[in-house]
Amino acid sequence: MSNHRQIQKLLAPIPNPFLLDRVDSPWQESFYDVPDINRTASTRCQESIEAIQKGNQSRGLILHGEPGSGKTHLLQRLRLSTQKDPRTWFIYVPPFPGPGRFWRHLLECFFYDICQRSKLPDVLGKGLPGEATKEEGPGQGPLTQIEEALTRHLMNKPLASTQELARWWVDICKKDHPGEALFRRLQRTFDYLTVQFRLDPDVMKVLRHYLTWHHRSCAYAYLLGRDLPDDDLALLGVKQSLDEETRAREAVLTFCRLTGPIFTIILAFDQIEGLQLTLEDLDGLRAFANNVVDLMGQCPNLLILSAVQTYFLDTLKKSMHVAYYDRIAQDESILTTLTRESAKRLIEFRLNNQKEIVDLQQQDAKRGQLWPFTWEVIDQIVPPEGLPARDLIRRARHRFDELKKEIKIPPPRSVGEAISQHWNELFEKQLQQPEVRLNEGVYEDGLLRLLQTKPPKGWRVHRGWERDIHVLLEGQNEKMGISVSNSENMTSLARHLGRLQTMISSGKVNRLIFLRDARLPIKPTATVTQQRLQDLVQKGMQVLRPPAEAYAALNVLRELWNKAAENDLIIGDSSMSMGQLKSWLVEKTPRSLQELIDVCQGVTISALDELIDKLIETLKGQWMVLLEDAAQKMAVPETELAQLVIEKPEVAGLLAGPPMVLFLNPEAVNRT
Amino acid sequence: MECIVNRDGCQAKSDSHKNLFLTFQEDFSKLSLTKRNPFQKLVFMPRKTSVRKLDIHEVDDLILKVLSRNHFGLSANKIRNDLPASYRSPIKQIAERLDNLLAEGRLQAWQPPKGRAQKSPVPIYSLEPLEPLIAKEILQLLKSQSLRPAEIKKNFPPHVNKYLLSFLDPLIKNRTVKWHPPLKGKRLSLQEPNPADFLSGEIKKLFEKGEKLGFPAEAILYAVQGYVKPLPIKKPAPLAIEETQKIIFKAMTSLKPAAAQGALVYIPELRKALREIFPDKDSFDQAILNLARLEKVQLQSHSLPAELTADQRQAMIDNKRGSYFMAIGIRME
Repeated sequence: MSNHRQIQKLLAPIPNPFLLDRVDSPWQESFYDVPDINRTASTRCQESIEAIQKGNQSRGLILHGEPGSGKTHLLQRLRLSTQKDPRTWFIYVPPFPGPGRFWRHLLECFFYDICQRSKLPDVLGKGLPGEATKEEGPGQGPLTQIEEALTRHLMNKPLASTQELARWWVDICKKDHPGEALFRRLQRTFDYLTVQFRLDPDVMKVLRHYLTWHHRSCAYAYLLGRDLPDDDLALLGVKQSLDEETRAREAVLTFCRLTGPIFTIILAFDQIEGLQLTLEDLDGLRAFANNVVDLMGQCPNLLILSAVQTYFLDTLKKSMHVAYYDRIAQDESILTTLTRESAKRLIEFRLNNQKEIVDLQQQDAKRGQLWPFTWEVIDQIVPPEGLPARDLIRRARHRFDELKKEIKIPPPRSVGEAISQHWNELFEKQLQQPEVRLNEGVYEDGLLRLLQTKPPKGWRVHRGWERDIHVLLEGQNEKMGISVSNSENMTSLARHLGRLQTMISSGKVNRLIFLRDARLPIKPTATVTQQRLQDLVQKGMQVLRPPAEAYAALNVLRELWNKAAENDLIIGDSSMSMGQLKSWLVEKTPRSLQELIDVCQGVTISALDELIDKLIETLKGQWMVLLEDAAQKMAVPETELAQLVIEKPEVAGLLAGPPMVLFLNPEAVNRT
Repeated sequence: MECIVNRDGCQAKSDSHKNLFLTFQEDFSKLSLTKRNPFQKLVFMPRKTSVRKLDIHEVDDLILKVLSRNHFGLSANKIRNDLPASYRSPIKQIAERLDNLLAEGRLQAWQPPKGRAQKSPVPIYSLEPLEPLIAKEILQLLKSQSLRPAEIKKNFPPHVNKYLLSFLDPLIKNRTVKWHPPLKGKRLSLQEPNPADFLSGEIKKLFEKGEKLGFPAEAILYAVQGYVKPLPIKKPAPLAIEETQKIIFKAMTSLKPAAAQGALVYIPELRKALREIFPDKDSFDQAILNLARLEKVQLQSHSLPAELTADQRQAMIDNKRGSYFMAIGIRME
């Protein structure tokens, strides 16, 4: 049997070890790492963390490289390294949905991540009480990051091990049961912390609820930034939610200060390129710079890590004040392309992670750790100038398939088909995900991108510049605003609607669409809210209640858009450009998105436009028609029709009679 | 009237003689010795009977005086002829004095090229170095006009004329003076020849014919441009890889000091900084790619090549994978 056939036979039942070629989030559980690759980049990150701890001053670090060079992978490595360090938090921040939502988005990411149990392996490894049952609750299972940090404060042992902290909780819960008793017991300590670290009292109170399992789900929703109903707020003992930028900022500052000076918080802002709506749009980047520099000034314990592609550095620099850029790019960590030697190590690592391959390698001493690959194969797949890790993995995957003789030639797929298929997969996945918070930003940012790509005919789409107007459509003489509110608090919603009433009265917009997720009911008992809503509807406001599918679709759109913005939208083996994504969106708009567009499209066609269209239709082909006949045909009063023609000479003219005659302006035939 | 010149001390025997001697000396210095003066014959006619010893310093002074009146120098024979008759010692002695003056650096000698003659031509002695002197004179003559070599020759004495081409040669080689195509004889000029001076007839005919055929002047000019062949670029000798690395790393760190720690430098900026060493695109690209192949540097590609203009692409390096290398960094691991 020839060598090739033998290899083919041996590899036949073994799955390809190079299937996984991207890390979508640093919180992804699977982690394949060759520590030698990009060691310098990792060291730079660690050096920055040490510099913060030594200098007691926040620092900025730019992490950059080519697409597929391993930015998110390095963030994952960094996150896992924080598991070993009790003095570090890792927060992952994907692009925020619009310049006016920075703090709310950061708060949501911040609290969501500090509720993750990143120190889990440490706890489970030591066989602690509660491990066998794996129940949740204080003293019952592993602690979250925020719980650990607070416990350290409570114990006054900033460097206590995770094990020690868990044990302490077991003891304390024996004395005071989780719930109200424990909530009351911790009041003095929390009040002391609030004063000592200049923290927000409301946030600290709700945090105490969360920590002591006292109205925990309400506390969790509040701390994520949801605008809670009054009843829930009353339950928590606070008056206002954190759904406004200023309140969200206070909450973020509280979390940052709470940890104390010996703690370092890594805020990893990923896919910065996604902050641009178009290549000329710098609003998002400016908002990022202003807010991040503000945060660095307020807290001395932050590492602001901005992950971007190398090509984008120039845009980033141009978008902000040079002093801000210098602060954000104080330190630099660069991901390198792989040399042949490092490529060999990565391939070996992947092969040796597959037990079946290791067994086959050990069966024959001649095979070695690189089998079934050889140095010659590596020379073939790695160009002399090197290549990014993802490209290498993809090439290795193809090579492995070739060795197995499993070269599947997929039927030729058009770009549109490939995106559609990918879309469907992501959409299904998104629909199954439980929603903790129905983020208004997803509607705002998603709709903006969607409508900019496929705007209603004759309308231009911008980001809204008035408070409560999130998307603005500008026609020839008209302005239409889209306002989003997912507030669960009816008082807040009533205030929101009140502001919309004022806006309509002042003529800042001619028409309005009010958008609210269908899963969030408007209580019939909320009298003021209902009244204002009715009033606005009477004034022509359209109420849009998109279903869960629309929310999921907009989320998927944002995800694909952000990837395409950094040229990192890989479907199968092909890289899809932003242009291709937009073309697909125009031609094959998914149903859930098309429904949103249709509503906007419907509203943009005004009664006047409809009447003009009818008039043109009536006159077309005849050129001259008696006013009386036309009015009858169009079912409008003669006087109204005559008035319309006088006001719109570009459409038609009126010959004084009797009888009065309408004639069509030839230019109107070409009217778009 | 007689004059006795004491060669040892240049002293006259009597006061009257002394006065007379001084008078003659002054007159002698005023007279141009190159022109025959009947009076000179009378004055300097030596007495056959007198035994004189020539003072070498005096001879040297007289030689220098002769040369000071001949900017473009003279041969030894000519110098001897121009000396007062009483100082015309044998040529050998004059040559000895000239050698001595040369050694002292008081005068210069120019050795004409041997040419076809078997015998070496005699050197020309002058107070200043002859070549720059004549070059300066030629440049002055050509400052405002182009001249044929014969016209240039007219401005120099015969002993220089003979070797004019030798003096012109370095000027032509270093392109200070240019040969113009023949137009009533070959001419020399400081300016580049203007094709309009030589092709005016042909150009006129071309445009006249073009006009007849209905072509506008711009179209004809465009068509003419199509005939232009690119000039071959002289490639400098390739540098050794170690030298290349040294030069490129130095330029990188001077553009961005952090490059020494692996920070990236934009390739278009580096190309600009190294334009003198790598004048053409290919030599620069190859130098960078060679360093990348040796794993000395890492190259980063642009993520959105479709957004790049043609100029931007030209300033970067094709990565043969559908994009362009835009940045370079020293490999640290």
